[in-house]
Parts: sequence; structure tokens; C-alpha cells
Amino acid sequence: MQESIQYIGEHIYLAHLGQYAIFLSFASAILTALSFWQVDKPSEKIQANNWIKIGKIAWWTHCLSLWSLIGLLFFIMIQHYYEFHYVWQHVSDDLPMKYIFSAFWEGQEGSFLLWLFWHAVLGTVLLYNRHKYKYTGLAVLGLIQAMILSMILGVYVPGLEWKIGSNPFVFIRDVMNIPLFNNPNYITLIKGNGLNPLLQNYWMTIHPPTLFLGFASTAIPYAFAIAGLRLRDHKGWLAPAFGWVLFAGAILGLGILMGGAWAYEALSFGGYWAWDPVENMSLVPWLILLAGLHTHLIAKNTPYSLKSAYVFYLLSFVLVVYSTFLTRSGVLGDTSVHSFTEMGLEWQLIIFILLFGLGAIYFYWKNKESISTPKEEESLFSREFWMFIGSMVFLFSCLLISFTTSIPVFNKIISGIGWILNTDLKDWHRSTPVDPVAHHNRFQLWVGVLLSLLSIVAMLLKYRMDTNPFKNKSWVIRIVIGLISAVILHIGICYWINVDAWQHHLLLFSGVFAICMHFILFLKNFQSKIQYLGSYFSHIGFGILIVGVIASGLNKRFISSNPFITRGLIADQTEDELAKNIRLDKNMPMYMSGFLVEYQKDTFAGVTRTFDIHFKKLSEDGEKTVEEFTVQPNILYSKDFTKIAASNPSTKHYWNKDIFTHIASLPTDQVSIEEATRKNESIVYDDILVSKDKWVSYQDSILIKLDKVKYDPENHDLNRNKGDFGISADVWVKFKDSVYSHKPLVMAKEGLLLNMNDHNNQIGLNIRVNEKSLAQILAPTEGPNIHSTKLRPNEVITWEGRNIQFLGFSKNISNPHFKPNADDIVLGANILVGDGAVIDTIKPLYIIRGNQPFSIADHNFKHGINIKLTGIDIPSESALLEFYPIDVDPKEISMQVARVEPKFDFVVLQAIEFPGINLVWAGSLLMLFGLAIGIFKKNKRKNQIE
Amino acid sequence: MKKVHIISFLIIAIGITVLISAIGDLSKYGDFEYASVTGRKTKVVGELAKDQEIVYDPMKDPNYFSFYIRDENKVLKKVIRRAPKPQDFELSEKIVVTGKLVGDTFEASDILMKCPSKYKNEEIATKS
Repeated sequence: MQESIQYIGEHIYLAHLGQYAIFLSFASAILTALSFWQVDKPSEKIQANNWIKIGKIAWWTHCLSLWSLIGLLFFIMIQHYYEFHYVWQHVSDDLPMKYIFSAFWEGQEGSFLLWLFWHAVLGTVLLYNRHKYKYTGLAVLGLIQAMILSMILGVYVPGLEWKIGSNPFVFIRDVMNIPLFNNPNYITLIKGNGLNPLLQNYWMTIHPPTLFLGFASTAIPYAFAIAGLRLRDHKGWLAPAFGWVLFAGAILGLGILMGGAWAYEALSFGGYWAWDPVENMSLVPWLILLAGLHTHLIAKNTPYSLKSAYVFYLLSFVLVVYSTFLTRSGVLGDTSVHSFTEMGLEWQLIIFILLFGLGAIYFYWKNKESISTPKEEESLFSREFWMFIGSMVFLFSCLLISFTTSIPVFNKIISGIGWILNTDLKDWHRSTPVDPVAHHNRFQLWVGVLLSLLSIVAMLLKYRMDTNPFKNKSWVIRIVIGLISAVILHIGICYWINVDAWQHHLLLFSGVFAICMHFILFLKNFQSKIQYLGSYFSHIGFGILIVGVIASGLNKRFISSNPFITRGLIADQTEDELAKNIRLDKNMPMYMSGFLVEYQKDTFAGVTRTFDIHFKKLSEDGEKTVEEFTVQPNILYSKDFTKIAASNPSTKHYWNKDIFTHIASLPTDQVSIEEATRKNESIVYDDILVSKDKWVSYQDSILIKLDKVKYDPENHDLNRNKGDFGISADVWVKFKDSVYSHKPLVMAKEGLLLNMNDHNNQIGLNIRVNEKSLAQILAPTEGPNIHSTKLRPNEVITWEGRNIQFLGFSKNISNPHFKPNADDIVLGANILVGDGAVIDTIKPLYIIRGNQPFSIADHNFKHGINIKLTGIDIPSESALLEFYPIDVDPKEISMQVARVEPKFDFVVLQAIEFPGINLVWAGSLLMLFGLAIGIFKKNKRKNQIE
Repeated sequence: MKKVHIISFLIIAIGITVLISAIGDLSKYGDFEYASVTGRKTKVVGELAKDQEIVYDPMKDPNYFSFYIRDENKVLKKVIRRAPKPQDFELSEKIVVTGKLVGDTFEASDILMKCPSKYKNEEIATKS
């Protein structure tokens, strides 16, 4: 049915262009793989140069078509071509341009493209490296690219009911089947879905590219390892690969760190690491890469650990693919908060893992005999021995993390076996740990202890050393100094933070010891060039990270609790669960954990509502203010204000701690408009005529008097746009000797009437302007002193002191209170009104909609006139007009009042103190800095050789 | 015996111990019956009972949130969580609660909601 429709405005040629670019990129990736693979085949030695030429052309074709298809996708997103499903899903008209990148990689297809993009960049750099491993390496990379591109191929296999990949250039009408697509002009009607408000922050712009560059860069050591195995040149690749490994370690580490910082800074998780499966599976490949880096160093300097280096690098990339599978297949569904939605790519991803996993095993198995291993063992006094043990600890840590994280996968496998055996094995299913943080911390604590201690031992020793270093006096003295300074530092830290359990003392001490010992060794080698000191920086950074984790994790303290208020209120509440969140009433300061906290005000800007929460710390006698600050957490409402879309925390940073706050909840009628409307609609208002001259009584006890009616009033809650107009009634309300001032208002905003009532909490009274007063101005029907007249073009008339001139009709209508339908006939009258001093324009409208005429009047409050165009006398081209006087200073106004329950404006606040959180960031950054400076060391040496 | 062998044995021994201990942290994906039998913390998968009341009144207590779920055997139980109500809670269908049964109510320390996917019930917003 739909095929017969000729749609208007679709960019079919762009869809075709995108599809061709995907095919071309896919095909040339395969050609790259095939041709570069031939280069290193012994049988093809003579042809090798030709294969290199073909491979280079294929690679460039691949890169250029890939980059153009990325550019094309950006283009259709920037242009808002909503006929494309991907554009409709991720972009909307009101999405700021700065989030276009975030929108690009919000979806699976876009993030695959981001991954592909980095592979292409890295591969191109590899292509211009000077070593013999690059051809096999690029062949591997070509195959990886082809596998990832197959995820966005979007072709149906004929005969089979199986779709390969999901194409980002598919039209929305090919994905959904709804009646809208019977309209050939459907494009003009659809609005974009837009970017999830949770993702509208700069972290979403910088985190994914960094993380994907990290993921992409693990493919290079994998490619080197395959090349080394295939060429059976097991030592040669170690030097050229080293810089790549450092780069991968630094960038992937940075990507993971940014993820933690994002969670902490912008999401309301209240922490930087939650052992969520998605976090875990980005950490594991990194840890394995670091294990690889350490065995790589051993292999470079000694005859040992070559096999381990191979295994770790091969494993690291396979784990990246596995992590892609976990996050994108939907298998984590029950265990993770932030995995992608399913897209039917599970089997393709499994094939991806199997291909590169089994491929790695094949090449390793086939060639492992040729890897030489020395007969004699590493000496106990050698660095390589302890470094190797350290790598095993990395591996061990990863096994544990992966085991727990993979439980949903095991459950699927068990179900699969059950399906084969035709029995229900559901009883064998297991859940992930009920408390994942406690579970992982319990084990990873020992990993932290072992890694710190092993790093110290290894760095104290030298490669290939087999003499007992204890005979060396200065060596022993260094250790003693290290131990003493560590003990002092440890005691000092315990004055600052509470450390209870002995395990935590042990972890803290090993971290502190690592800091001291590596610092001493750093001083000893201080004369070396900075590039050679990377390992000291990294290890000191690791020690600092441990201290930071202990400080911020163990001593995380909920400020937002006031046990004196909450204790005993709730039956059987355990001590531990005592209020982590607190209700903070507006303008009612409250004591909590040494602070006097006040919710001072809230302001709206668009859909963002920002709360000013003021913290004041008083001196012990309560007289002086020691310090004060204001945090501004905010919440984002959805575009239509029907619900809260996101809650963004606000953090006060100190050098030694952070105070983290976020809005955990709001009064129910502010959480959703539905709730508010339900509440508001249940209120019954009484009409009342309020006068300037006398107090009018309501329910015998309340007296109301009009102060002044204001036209076009300002209200801080409402942004008045051009064309909006309103009426406010400033009134006095007297109740039990108290007099209150209220300023309710009613406003016409883009054709809608907004009634902003004013609320008196002491009395429990709602007061608002009767909407009729405003409706009477939009479409007047009655009133005293109406004047009807008929004016020819340019005719002038004087009415009650105003000069009124009808200029003529116009068809150019722009009235914010009226949106014309397609078949409306609309006519506007241009009228000038003057009082001798000021002249203004008034444009009433006359509309015929489906044979029904109606009028929209226009007014001018200054001149106190409202003019309605009631018809047209066609023969004389005259306008039939009605003039309504507007009382510029009315003596009375119709209002509505109701008694309501007093309402409280409050927030449910969560405030957490994180001591030493900066040590986490500083330690991590130092660790990555140590990796990064090593990259330059390698480059320098290479330059010297060339 | 080589040092490598001793270390391998050590690692394997520690590994097995740790794994056994780790498995102790895992429980069956349970229903309320299992939760009442073990008395320990468990995960219960269920559906939000939309016909029952969902209580969160921050005026009274910002740290009290209660609702009802039906587990896979259609057993209905009240769930309490000492924290504010999560956004979009009413939209969720499948819910995984972690916690333990205290009497007849389930004290949850964690809730994971599965909302119907954003794009599943395809609706296109049209310009008004």
C-alpha cells in the first residue's frame, strides 16, 4: 500500500549514498585484510609489492568511504532530516548544536561508527610506521573493521529471516508502520525524539570518544601479537609495539576514569565507581593490558614472559569485544542500569568474539613451540620474577571480576543446555551478588595490597639480578627509611580519617608504603630524563589512588541526616538505614551534621529548575559563621513539563573533601504535572468581586480588598515573550489582624491561558484572577459603551478622545495567540490608534474556518481600547469594527478564591561528604601520566635510530 | 619442584578458595517463597502490581517508599525501600528487588526497574 505513495521531501539519494558508502567501506576492509595478509605469505614473496599496493589502495578506500559515511550521518543529523530513523531517534529541533556529537553516538550505530573511526585513524598511523609487522597487523585490523561494519550493514539474507546489522540510513517509514505514512507529506509533520536529557552534558561529548579510542587502541597490540606469532619473530615486535601499548593504557585508563568522573559529577549515583557490569567490563581489558605491559617489559629485558605477553595482548582485545557483546546484546538486562537496548545483534557479536578468540588461540597454539623459553628459572632476587607474579595478580583480579559480571551469560548458557536436553534447568540459574560493591571490594582489596607490595619489591630489584640484595647496606637502609616514613604517614592519615577494620589498615599501609618507597626510588633516579621515570609516577599514583579510595569510600558521610528528628518516627528502622535523605522546607533552615542548611530559592530557566541550597557552618559556640557556601543542584523537567527527566547534582569542592548534593525528590504535585493538575482540579473556587473601595469578606473570617489592577505585569516565574499579555490583580488579604499582599495573574501565552494563582500558606487560601477577564479581551462579546462602526481604508474617526485610522487589510498575519489551519481564510485589519502624543498599531483578525467566521480582537492597554473586526463590507472594502473601552484603572475585578490545605514547598535533599576524593583523581591521573610520558621515551629512541 | 609450580599451586589453591567464597555471595534468582525460606538477602524478580497502592509521601517521611509486586508465582507482597521513589517508577513493568523478607514485607536495599523500551511502543510526536 505504502509503495504506491509518492512521498514529498525525502532525501532518498542520501540514503542510497550512505548505503553505498557502508558497502564500499565493508568490501574494501575485506580487500585490505586479504591483500595485506598475502604480503607476508612465503609463497607470495615475489608478488609482495603488488599486494602492498593493492592493500594500500584498499585501506585508503576503506578509510575515505568510512569517514564520508560518518560525515554524511552528521550532515543529515545537523540538517534534521527526520525521514531517517536514526536522525528522528536522536535529534530534535530544540537540541542545541553543541550536543550533536552526543546525539551522534547515543545510538548503537553511531557508537560503532565512532569505534570504526578510531581504528581507521590508528591503522593509518600504523600503515606509515616502519616495521615489518604492519602488514599482517593491518590485515587483522581490516578484518576487525569488516566485522564491526557488518553491525551497520543492514542487509537481509534472502531465504533466511535474518538481518545482518542495523543501517543508520534507514527511513523511519521502513521501521514503523503507522497511519501517518499514508500522508505523502509526513515529513513536515514529525518531530524528532531528541537526546535523552540525562545525556545532555559535556561528559557525553568527551567520554565516549576517549573510551572508544581506548578500546580501539587495544586492537593494535592484538594485531602485533598475531603478526609476531605468524612471522615467528617473537622478539622483534616488542620494541615497535611498546609505544602503542603505553598509548592504549593511558587512553583507555583515561576513558574509564572519565566514566567514573561523569557518574560522580553529573549523575546522582553518589559515587564514582559502583562495580556495575558496564564499568567492570571496561576495566577488565585495561587491567589485562597492564598485565601485558608488565610482561612486555620483562620480555624486552630478559628471555622470560614472552608467552604471557602474547596471551595478555590477545586476551585484552578479545575482552573488549566481549565487553561490547555484554553491553549491546541486552544480556545484562536484569543487572545493569546503563546497557544499550537489544537490537538483534547478539549472534553477530558472538561470531565476532569467536572469530577473534579462536583465531588468537589458533595462532598461539600453532606457533608456541617456536617461542624460546630459557631452561633456568627466574631468580628470586630478580625484578622479572616479582613483576611476573604481579601480572598474575592482574589476571586473577580480572578473572574474579569477569566471573561475577558474566553470571547472566552463564544463565543463558545453562538455559541453552536445558533447551538442548529438553529439561528446565532454571534451578541452576544464579543471581549476581545482592551487594555487588561489598562483593567486589572484599576480593579486590587483596589485589590492591598485593599489587602495591609487589610493585615495591619489583622496583627495588633489578632485571636478571641473582645476588642477595640484603648484603647491600644502602639498599637495606632505603627500605628502612621507606618503612619508617610509611608508618608515620599511615598514623597521620588515621588522624584525618577513620579506618576501622584491620584489612583496611593493611590496604592503606600498602598504599602508603608504595607512595613512600617509589618516591625514594624516584629521588634516587632523579637525574634520569623524565621519560624514564614513568613507572615511578604510575606506581606512586596507584598508591595515592588507594589512599583516596579508602578516604572517600570508608569515610563517605551522609550530611543529609538529622537523627534527632527521624529516629523513632519509623517503626523497626535500623540504625544503618537512618535517613540518608532529608526533607528541607523552603526558607526553613535546618541543622544537619554541623551545618545549618537552608533551601533559599528556586529559579526556572527553560525546563531547568535550579535550587539554591545554602550551607552555613557555625563556630562551636554558635556565634560566628565559620564558613558558608551555596550549592545549586537542579532538576530537568521533560519538554512538556509532565515529569522530571533528570536530577543533576551540585558539588562543593575543597582541596581535601567534596560536599556532594542532589535533589532526591520534590513534593508530589511538583514531580508530575498530572499529579498537580489532579490536585488543582479538585479545588473548588468561589467567584468574588473584589473592589478598591471596600473590604469584601470571604467565609466571614477573610477580608479582601483590591489595591491595583496591572496590565502586562512582570512575574519572576514567567518569561513574557513578545505578544504575551496578562492582567494581575494586586490585592490585600486580611486575616486575624494580619494583612498579606498577593499578586495573582492570568496571562495569554501563545494562545493558552495561564492562570498563576497566589497562595497564602498561613491562611490556606488560593486566590486567582477570573480567566473571564482575560478572555473578554481576546474575544469580547459584551460590555458598556461598545461602539460599532464601518471604516473605509485610510478613514479616520475620533472615538472618546482617541484618533483611530483604518489603514487597510493585510493577509500577512502573525499573531502569537492564533495558529491558522491550512484551509483557514484569515484577514487582518491594520489600525492606528493615537491620543495626540503616542501612536500604536492594532491588528484584529477575522477568520473563516470551514464556513464559520470568528474574530480575534486586538487591544492596547495604554490607549485603553480593544478592537474587534466583525466583518467586511466587500463592495466598499470597508472594515466592520467594534470598539471596546478598557478601563485603565478599574475599581473592581472578578476574582476566584478557595480554601486549601497549607502547602509546603520543599526538596528532599541528599548531601554526602567525600573526604579525600581529590586523591582518587590525582592518583589516577598521575598513574596515566606515568604511562603517557613513556610514549615519548620510545619515540625518542626511535628517532635516534633513524 | 620449580618455583613456577609452587606459585601455580598457590594461585590455584587461593583461586579455588576465593571462587567458593565468591559463589557464596550468589543466590538463586528467587521468588518470595525462596526469600522466606533462606531468610537471607535475595533478589526477587516480579511485576509491579499496578492495582495496589504506591506510597511515597516526602511530607511524612522522605525515606519511606512502598509498593507491591507479584513474583513469578503471582505471590503478592509489599516492598519497602528506605529511599525516595525513583523517577518513572510507575512506568516500570518488570522489577528486580534486592533485600530480605521481614515478616510479611520485603525490605529492599536496591531496586532495578525495567521500563518498556523508549522505542518499543512506537509513537511519533507530531508537530501541533
